[in-house]
Amino acid sequence: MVELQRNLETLNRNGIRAFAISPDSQAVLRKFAQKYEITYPLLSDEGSHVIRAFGILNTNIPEDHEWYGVPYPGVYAVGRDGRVFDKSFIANHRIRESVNDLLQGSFRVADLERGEAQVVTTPHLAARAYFASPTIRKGQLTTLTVDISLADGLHIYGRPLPEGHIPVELTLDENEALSLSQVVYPEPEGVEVEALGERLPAYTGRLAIRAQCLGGSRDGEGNIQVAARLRYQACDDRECFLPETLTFILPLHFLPHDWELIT
Amino acid sequence: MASKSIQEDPTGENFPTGPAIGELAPDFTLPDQFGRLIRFSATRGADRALIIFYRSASW
Repeated sequence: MVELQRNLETLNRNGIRAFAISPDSQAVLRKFAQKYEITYPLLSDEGSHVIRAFGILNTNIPEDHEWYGVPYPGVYAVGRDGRVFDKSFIANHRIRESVNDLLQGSFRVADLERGEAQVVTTPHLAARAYFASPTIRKGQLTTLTVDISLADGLHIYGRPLPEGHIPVELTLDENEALSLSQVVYPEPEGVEVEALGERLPAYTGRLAIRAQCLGGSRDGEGNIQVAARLRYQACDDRECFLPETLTFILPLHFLPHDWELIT
Repeated sequence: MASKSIQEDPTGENFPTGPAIGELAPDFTLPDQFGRLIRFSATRGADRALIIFYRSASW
């Protein structure tokens, strides 16, 4: 919620209105809003009527429990026509999507505050790596993007690949601040390899690799550096060059543990 | 992002995620932290919206 407040100007600039709904009383919300200087509407759904209207009341909680009335936490992106065009519900309550990922992924907002980018250039390609947000906290998801622009006439390999070839691969060095949960490679095209007389999945021109990362269990706030590595082997239509591993050192600010304030 | 109305969590249990993509979001009128009554549909047509459901601001 605090992170959303920090991004409020971006939302306004992009014509996006934010509404946050919980079964809290107005008094609780007033106190919370004062403490964290939240100016977008924190709506009080005491009695959970709206939560029920959306059909997301958590019915695993017994009616006599003090938590009864809470929703399954999630986010809807709603268009000007009032229709839902995207939504995100994550079963694990300890994992949240970052605001930046939401705005970038669902609303295609481009002018976001991102992590500092690092560009590495080799004779084969230029690669630019950055995190979706300059901050991360435990249990929060963020996206690491690597934009790659290949030199003319060169290709790098995708998957699946016969043995002996090296597909492009993005990894993170182990660290206490965040871990890689899933890497999404774009769909490769087929490139004819004359020497082999076969077509192999490969990339030419431009591509973007996106890795979903999960904030880890680092103790306390602080600035950290995360090493991401991109391994590839570039080839032209006659020969392949030696495999390369590029290293990106990316700064992130680790924020303190703060479950309910994440979205 | 999910496009289904029911999502499976890692324990294999299903839980509802409300209106499906393409469906109308239910309208609502609720008081905010300043005591103002906010009607969701009042912004329809002009702005897109981000609706966040969370459990509580107090824990």
